[in-house]
Amino acid sequence: MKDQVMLEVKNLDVAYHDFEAVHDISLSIKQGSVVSIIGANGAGKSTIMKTIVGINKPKKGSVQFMGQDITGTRTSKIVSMGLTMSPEGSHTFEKMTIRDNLLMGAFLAKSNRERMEQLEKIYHLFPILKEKQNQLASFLSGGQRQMLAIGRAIMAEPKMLLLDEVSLGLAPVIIKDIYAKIKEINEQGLTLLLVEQDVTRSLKHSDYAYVVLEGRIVMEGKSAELDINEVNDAYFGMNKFA
Amino acid sequence: MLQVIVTGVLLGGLYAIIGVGMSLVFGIMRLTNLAHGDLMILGTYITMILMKGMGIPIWASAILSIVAMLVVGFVIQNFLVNRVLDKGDEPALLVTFGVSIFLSNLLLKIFGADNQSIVNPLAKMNVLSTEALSISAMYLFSFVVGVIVIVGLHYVLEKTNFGRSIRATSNDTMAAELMGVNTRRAYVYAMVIALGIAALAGTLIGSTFVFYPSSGTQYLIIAFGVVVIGGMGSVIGTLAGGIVLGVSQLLGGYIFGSGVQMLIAYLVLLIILALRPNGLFASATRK
Amino acid sequence: MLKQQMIKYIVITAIIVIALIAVPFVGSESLMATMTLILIYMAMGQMWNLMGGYAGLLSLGMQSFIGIGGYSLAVFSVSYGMNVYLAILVGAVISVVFALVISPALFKMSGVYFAIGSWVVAEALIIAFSNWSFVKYAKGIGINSVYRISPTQIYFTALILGLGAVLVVFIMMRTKIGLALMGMRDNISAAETMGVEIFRTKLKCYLIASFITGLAGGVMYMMQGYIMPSSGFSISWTVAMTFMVIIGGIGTMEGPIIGAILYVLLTQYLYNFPGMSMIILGLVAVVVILIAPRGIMGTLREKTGLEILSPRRAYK
Repeated sequence: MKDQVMLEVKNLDVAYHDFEAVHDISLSIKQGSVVSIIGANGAGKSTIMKTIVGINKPKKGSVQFMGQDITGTRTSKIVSMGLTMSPEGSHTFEKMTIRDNLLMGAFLAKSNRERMEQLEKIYHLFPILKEKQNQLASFLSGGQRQMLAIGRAIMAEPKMLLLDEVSLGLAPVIIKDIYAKIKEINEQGLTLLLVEQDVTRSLKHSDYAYVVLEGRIVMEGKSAELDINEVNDAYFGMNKFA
Repeated sequence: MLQVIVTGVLLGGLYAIIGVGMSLVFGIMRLTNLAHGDLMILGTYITMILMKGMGIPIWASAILSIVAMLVVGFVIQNFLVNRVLDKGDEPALLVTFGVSIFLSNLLLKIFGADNQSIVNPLAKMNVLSTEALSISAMYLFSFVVGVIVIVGLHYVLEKTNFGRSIRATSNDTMAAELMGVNTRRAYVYAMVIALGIAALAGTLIGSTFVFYPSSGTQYLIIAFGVVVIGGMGSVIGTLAGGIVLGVSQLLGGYIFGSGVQMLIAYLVLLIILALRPNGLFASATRK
Repeated sequence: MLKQQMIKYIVITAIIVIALIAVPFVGSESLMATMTLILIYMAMGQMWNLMGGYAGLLSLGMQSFIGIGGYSLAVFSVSYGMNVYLAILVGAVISVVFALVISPALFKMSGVYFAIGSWVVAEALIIAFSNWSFVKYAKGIGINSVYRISPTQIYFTALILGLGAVLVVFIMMRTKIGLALMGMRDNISAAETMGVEIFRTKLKCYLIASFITGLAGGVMYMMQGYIMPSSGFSISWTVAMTFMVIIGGIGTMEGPIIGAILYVLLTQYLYNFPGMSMIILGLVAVVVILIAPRGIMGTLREKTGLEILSPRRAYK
């Protein structure tokens, strides 16, 4: 099963009104791997993520998930196929309790019993969420909110998860904590696509990386083999690839 | 005085059930349905003609009216409102305004401008009749139904998976979609439920007061008042909103004469709107 | 604007104005009656559009000013023997005063709250007037002071009103108010930083709209000759305004003109089918919003870049 391609993005073009956000993006993500998209603010990373899960509609190109074409499919349908995303800014349900937030994650589960079982698993992974389960999400700190968003996303036991900017605005010690959890989740078999602004962290936590500059992929390769300095240059658009 | 307050509270239960559907729709899609009053009156007329025209008993007519309005809700949301929701607030608001004009005049064309009423056994009965206080059976019945519907809806929203998905959609549409909720469909469910309740409210209204094709306007304002006072989108709040409005209307009538009682209710609404633009109970209703 | 183009515009405007002045002398009486209605409705539509289309104040309560205008005409000219035109003018002034009085409350509400709040005010006026002996309760007042006024004279009054309304908006859009309005519509976040300025601009628009809508109410009832609370303050006035602006194109100056012509012709045609006109108007409005939410002018402009009267206004 390993080494089989799970998500295949081909020649994706996305435009907002007249402004083209990303151009000719192709990605290939193998089952069980962690892939990261590295790029500066506004490079088009979030646009790529949102287009994969159907929030944005592409102008050109295709997205295939487990051999099925999901280009332009409604987000809720894509989610039901086992591909989901934890969006930038966490987007937890502020007016709902932690528990209800998590239960929403398993909205598509067959039964309440299944939901409760999942809930226990998530509480085991993030004990802090159990402690605060009856509080409103709006009372959580930034790091806890990120954990809630991740916990909520894996409540549905997806096959693949996109994580958009999980470390944005968080203290280093909390970021370390979150990445430890991410590693744990991946080891349980979940395929991950990460978006990250921090080059070092990205390369450290992924198997394969794409560097995006001004809406185009300017560099890609196995994370362990990529040279940090070269990636940094590509990130800022200061080398031959730009 | 006691009489006025008791009757006002009971009337408030009826008002609350008029407003609760509007609150639900506002809560989930930020849409103020300007056709809400006319749709409710449509429900009233459906119940009436089933009874008068076909001799169906009132309870069965009410159920059929609810079923019919569920279908109307599906059609309105699926084919009209959902198609303009992403074009900004104004088009959706104006679509419901267009539906309102269409409906009230359609009813006028079919039924004429005459006053109508739904004949029912409760209308002339009192459950309590003393010198100090008499309680109309119909008012009490409406109040009880109102409380049951609102508490029931609140329970569904708070405790069930379906209800959670409605709350999630109203809280953050994109995130709800990412949980696998088809939010467009959630909108349809909300409108369908809202209009089902509106048909029930319409039947109660028609059994309590006379009505005519343009009654919708008056009830739209009442519904709006209930929703504003109770806090836009809060289901339990509508009960408080209904009672505030009902009591102030009857109290106003008691002090200034029954001709101006609605005027007092409208003024109370305007004052509350100006002082607390987010509703009286906006912060208190969602803990 | 190029000088040549300017001359062209002036010539065209002059031709239209002369044609409008000539209507009573060359046209039939029914044409004149139709034109009178179009001109009055055009003034109402322009004002609704000034608020809803430019100032972002979607109002469902402009009928308050129609009623006040109509009732002022009735009360002052019938009961106090005041000159009809003066009575209409007094009505417009009362409209502004009324708008000023309710504005502190109304302007605390925004968006849909403003829309419904202003509607509730009008509904409250219906009840208040129905219980007020001074205006003869709900049975209304016959405005016999206008019975002797000739249709031609009413036509010219409507002509001045209609052209005046267009001119006012035309000039406003080319002053500081216009600039502020464009800024508000196009870039809300930037405009938010100057909250007081926005409030003043919106209030100015509201007061101007209440004045001219009050005038329009007076002129309308000069033609109708009888007023009741339920008709004077009826939501159907706002229905007409909304319809005209939606069909013609919200946020364009040409929109209400085209809308008024279509509205009057359509309602006149539908007189032949009693009870159908409002049903069809409602239906048409819904269909237009679904397929062409920017109305006739908005859609035309989008397709061809055509602009006649309106200054540039970018769409979101």
